[in-house]
Amino acid sequence: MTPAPPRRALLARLVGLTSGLSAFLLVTILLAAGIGAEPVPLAVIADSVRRALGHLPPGPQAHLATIFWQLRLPRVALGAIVGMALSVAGGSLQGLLMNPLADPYLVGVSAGAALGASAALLFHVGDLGGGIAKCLIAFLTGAGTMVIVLWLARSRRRISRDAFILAGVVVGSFMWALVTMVMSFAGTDLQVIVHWLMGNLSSEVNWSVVAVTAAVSLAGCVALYSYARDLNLLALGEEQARQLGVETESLKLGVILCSALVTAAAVSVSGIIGFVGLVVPHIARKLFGPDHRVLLPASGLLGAAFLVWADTLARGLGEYFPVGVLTSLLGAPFFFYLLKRR
Amino acid sequence: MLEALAITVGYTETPVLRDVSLSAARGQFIGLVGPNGSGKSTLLRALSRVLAPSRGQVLLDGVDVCRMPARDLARRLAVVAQDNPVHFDFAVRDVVLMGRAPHLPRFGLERPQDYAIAEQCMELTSTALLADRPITALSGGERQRCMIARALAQEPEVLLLDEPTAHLDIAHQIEILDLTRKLTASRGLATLVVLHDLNLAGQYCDHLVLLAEGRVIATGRPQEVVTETHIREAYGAEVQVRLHPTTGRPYVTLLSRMPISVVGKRSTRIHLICGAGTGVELMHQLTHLGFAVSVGVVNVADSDQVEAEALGLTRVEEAPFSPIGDESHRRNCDLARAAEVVIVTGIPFGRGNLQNLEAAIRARGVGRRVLLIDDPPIAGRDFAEGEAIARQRQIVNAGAEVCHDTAEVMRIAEELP
Repeated sequence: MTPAPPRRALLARLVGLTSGLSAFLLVTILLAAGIGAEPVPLAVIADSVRRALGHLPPGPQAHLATIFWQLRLPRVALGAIVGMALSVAGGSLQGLLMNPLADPYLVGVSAGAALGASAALLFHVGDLGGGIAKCLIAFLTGAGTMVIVLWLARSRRRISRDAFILAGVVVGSFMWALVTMVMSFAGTDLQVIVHWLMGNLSSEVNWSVVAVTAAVSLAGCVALYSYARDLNLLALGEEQARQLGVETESLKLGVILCSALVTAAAVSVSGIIGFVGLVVPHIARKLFGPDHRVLLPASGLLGAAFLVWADTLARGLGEYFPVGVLTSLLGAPFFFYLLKRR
Repeated sequence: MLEALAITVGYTETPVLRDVSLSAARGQFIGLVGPNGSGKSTLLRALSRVLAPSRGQVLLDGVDVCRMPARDLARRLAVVAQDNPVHFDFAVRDVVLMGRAPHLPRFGLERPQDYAIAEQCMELTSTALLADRPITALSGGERQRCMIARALAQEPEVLLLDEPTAHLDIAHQIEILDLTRKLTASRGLATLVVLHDLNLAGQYCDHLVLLAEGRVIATGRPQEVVTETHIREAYGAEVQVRLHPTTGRPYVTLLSRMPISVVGKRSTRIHLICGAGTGVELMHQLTHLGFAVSVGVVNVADSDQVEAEALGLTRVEEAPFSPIGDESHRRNCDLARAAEVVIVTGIPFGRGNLQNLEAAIRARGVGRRVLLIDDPPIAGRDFAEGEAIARQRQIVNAGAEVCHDTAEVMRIAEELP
């Protein structure tokens, strides 16, 4: 009889890891919401949170509390949601496509959303409903592009992963050409479009947008998490995964649809914020290993915290400094480092 | 338990397999052999539901595998692929645990018994020491054993292995085949293994299926399947098949089909009296030098006979393992007399082939030049109670030249016109 095998408690590891990273994210959010042109001290935040939870009347520093609740926190929360969505989508797609270069924008969603948003800005329909219209149009064109890509990549009831990558790149290029065309007609609106394209969290800071984005992203991320074990098996190759009981076609369809959904949700409210979905999963894999059941939540929480800090830094660099520039500036060198190591 | 009923399978319109049927029962270790592109791997894909046959069915205990959910099939049938690129550096233990996936509930984590089973499978395949190493850092053989451990962790009833010995050195090949064979017996598995090496297949499998061009050419016990005829038909290659003296299993020797390059042409005709493989080297060298060579009396399927046939030499043949008959002896004497030089190699002599020396005596009697290769010395290869020694002395007394080895004969031959 062999001695009792060492059982590694995956569950304990998962709980410890997620609670640790969640705590880190919470601290990040509170600190980041305090930082800005008008600093809100932690004591005020704590007091305000206590009052809000207890339905008490506002305290002596009500204006700071208002800045915290109505200006900073929505933006910081949106940053966290977008960071989570992009990182989970990126991690899932890297697992699905077994391609370290995969990121959420590969699906063509970003280009489609960019086209929708820039067209909405060009025709001045973007501001209807306090920017909700632009977000909605961007979301729909993003999701629509993904449908085109899927249709191109699917033949004989199968999705070929190589065809999918190619179709995503080709459709993406086509959409970007259209975006450039729209920009050439934009005239004085060009600046607004460019600002949106560069990726920023400054435009849509109201709680209703945050709530909708959070709902869509969280639902998508939970759905992606349900594929985590199947993604592990896929690392053995598609054929082996099938022989281990994975229905690979529904896995591919599910992961692509869900990651496109959360990406579209993220892009529609924040524009094209680069490198988060590419680099964060790589960092998480280095830190916590390749098991998607650990990797996906870790990526999500890390990505959320990363984008919040990047946005805080961007805010410090100027009111209109796009956080997308900063993530690329930080992400690209890190990515070179990863490439060189391979 | 696993049956393929007249399946036709392909990737495009053109089928790779046509009308292939086979069945595997519990405890059977079945080898799938055949040339490259004969459809062996495709057959495994069809059996494991990766490819659906366009005609025919694959049945597992009577149920069509294409109608089974992937998870249900994965609990009963495991596949070890030919090469196993693993993306992402999972630890060996995690990869082996993946074999438990079909047994877990959709959102469940591995239970203690899953860890126990994985651990046990690693012990069996001697991969337990590698448990914490990343799979990407292992050698080909180690990785192959991990994949077998993973397949065993599925606790299958049917095990399919696609060239598990490819890229492995001989020791690892034996290790893997010993292991899978042992497990087949101890766990009552039905094992189907694709093998490239006919000798390994013949040695390890109870039953072989020979495929060529998508069809089953032969099926049965190794000695029924691995025959010269079947191999010529399947591979288009000339081989020599023998039954191994200790195991009784067939073993295959490859015969070169390279044409001999002939330098120049010589007028001297040489008759070579040989047998038991003693003449192969001389046949090649003499033909190469441009002599017209004839060969006498060789038994069919003897390596000298096979070689003479391959080189297209004039020869006198006798039935396998039979003594030289009168008719063969007469023709042997005729060929020896028709030649200018007769060479007798260091054949082991028994009562059955003393006539070969007799033919040399007669040739010497009519003045032919006779070269005797006394290597090894006649005393060690006379199994006819001194008669061979006596006859050799007789030839030497009649003026035959004694050479000590093949090289000496070749030095003489090079001087001949």
